[in-house]
Amino acid sequence: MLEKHDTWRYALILAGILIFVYAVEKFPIGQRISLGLAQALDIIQAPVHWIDDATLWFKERQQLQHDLLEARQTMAQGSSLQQQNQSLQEENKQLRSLLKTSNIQGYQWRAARVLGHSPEQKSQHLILETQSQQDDVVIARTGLVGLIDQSQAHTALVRTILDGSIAVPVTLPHSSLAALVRGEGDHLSVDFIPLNQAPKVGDILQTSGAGGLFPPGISVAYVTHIEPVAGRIFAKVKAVPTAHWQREAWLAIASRHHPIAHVKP
Amino acid sequence: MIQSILLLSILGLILNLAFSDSFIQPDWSLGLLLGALLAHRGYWPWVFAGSALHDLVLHWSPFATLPWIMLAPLLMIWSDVQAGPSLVQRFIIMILVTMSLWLWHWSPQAVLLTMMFTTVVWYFVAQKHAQPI
Repeated sequence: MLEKHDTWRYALILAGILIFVYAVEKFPIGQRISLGLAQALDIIQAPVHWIDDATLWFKERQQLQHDLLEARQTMAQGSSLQQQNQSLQEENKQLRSLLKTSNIQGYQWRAARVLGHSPEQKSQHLILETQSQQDDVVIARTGLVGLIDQSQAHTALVRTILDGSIAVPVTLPHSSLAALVRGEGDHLSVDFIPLNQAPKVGDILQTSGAGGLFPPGISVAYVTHIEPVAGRIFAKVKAVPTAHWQREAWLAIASRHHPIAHVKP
Repeated sequence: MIQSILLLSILGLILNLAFSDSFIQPDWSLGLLLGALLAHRGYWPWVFAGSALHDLVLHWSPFATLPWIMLAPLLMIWSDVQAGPSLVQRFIIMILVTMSLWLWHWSPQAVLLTMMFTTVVWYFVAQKHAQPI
C-alpha cells in the first residue's frame, strides 16, 4: 500500500512531467538552449581553427600561389556572373512592369559559418554564425539546406529539409509537375506525384517557387525510389537531398527583401 | 559526484554539437547519465533532468531518450525482484536505452561507441560507490 506522502510525491512528479512536456510543446525551449550554447561551441572550436591557421605556415609557397590564382579566377567568374545576374534582374523588372505582375520576392544573399551540427547521421539541425531572420532560406553549393528556425544577435538555428516540419514545393525542370518534398529524418518523401508524371530514378527535383518561401530553381532532391501504390493516383516516391551540409563549413543565406504576408487561417 | 557528471554531460553535448561533422563520437552526455544511473539507481531525478536537457538540445524534442531513461529504473526494480540483482539485466537495459539513439538516426558506430562509453562510466561510478569491506 502507498503511504499518503508517497501518493503526493508521485502526483507531483507526474504533474512536473506534464508541465514540462506542455512547456516544450508550446515554447521552443530546446532551440533557445542550443542558441545559448553557440558561444561555447565557438570557444571549443577555437583550437581547431588555430591549428588550421597554423598549418598555412607549413604549406609550400607554390601551393599557396596556386590557391591564390585559383581564388582570383573564381572571383573573376563570380563577378562576371554577378554582372549577368544584375542585367537579368533589370530585364526581369522591366518585364514585370510590362506584365503588371507584382509581389514577386527579391532575395539578398550572404554567407554564414557553420558552428555546429546536430549529431544524427545526416544532421537535421545546424547552428550558424550569422545575423538572420526567421524563415530565411539556407543553401549549400549543391542545393537547398533548410530554413532559419530561431535567431539571436549573432547566431541562428537551421531546420534542414530532413526535419519533418518542412515541406518544400518542387518541380522537375521543363515539366508541369508540382509536388511537395517532406523530411523523414534520414531521407525525403515526395508527395502528390501522379503516376503518369512520375520522374525517373536519379532525376533532380528543384524548388518551384510556389508559396514564395523558397527561391525557384534550387536543387532539392535526387529521386531514389518510385513505387506505384495499388488503387492510388499518386506514386510513392523517396529521395535524398542534393546538398551535403554535413561537411560544409560555410553556407549561403537568402533573405527576402520583403517579408511574406502570413495568411491567417 | 552526480554534479560533476551533470557538468561533464553538458560538456558532452557541446562536443557532440561542435564536432559531429569531423569524426564519429559517442553520445557523451547519454553515456555519462546512463552509466551513473546503472551504477546507482538513486541518481534518477538528476539523470532524468540531464536526459531532458540532452533531448532538448540535440533533438529539440523531449521524446528521444527521456522516455527510455525513465523506464530504466522501473525495469531495474522489477527485474531485480524477479531475477535477483545482477549485471545481465542492467546490460540489457543499457542496450535498450542506447538503441533509442538508432531510432533517432544516429549512426550504428556512434551507438556502439555510446554503449562502450556507458560501460566505462558505469564501472567507474560503481567503483566510487563500492563500500570497502
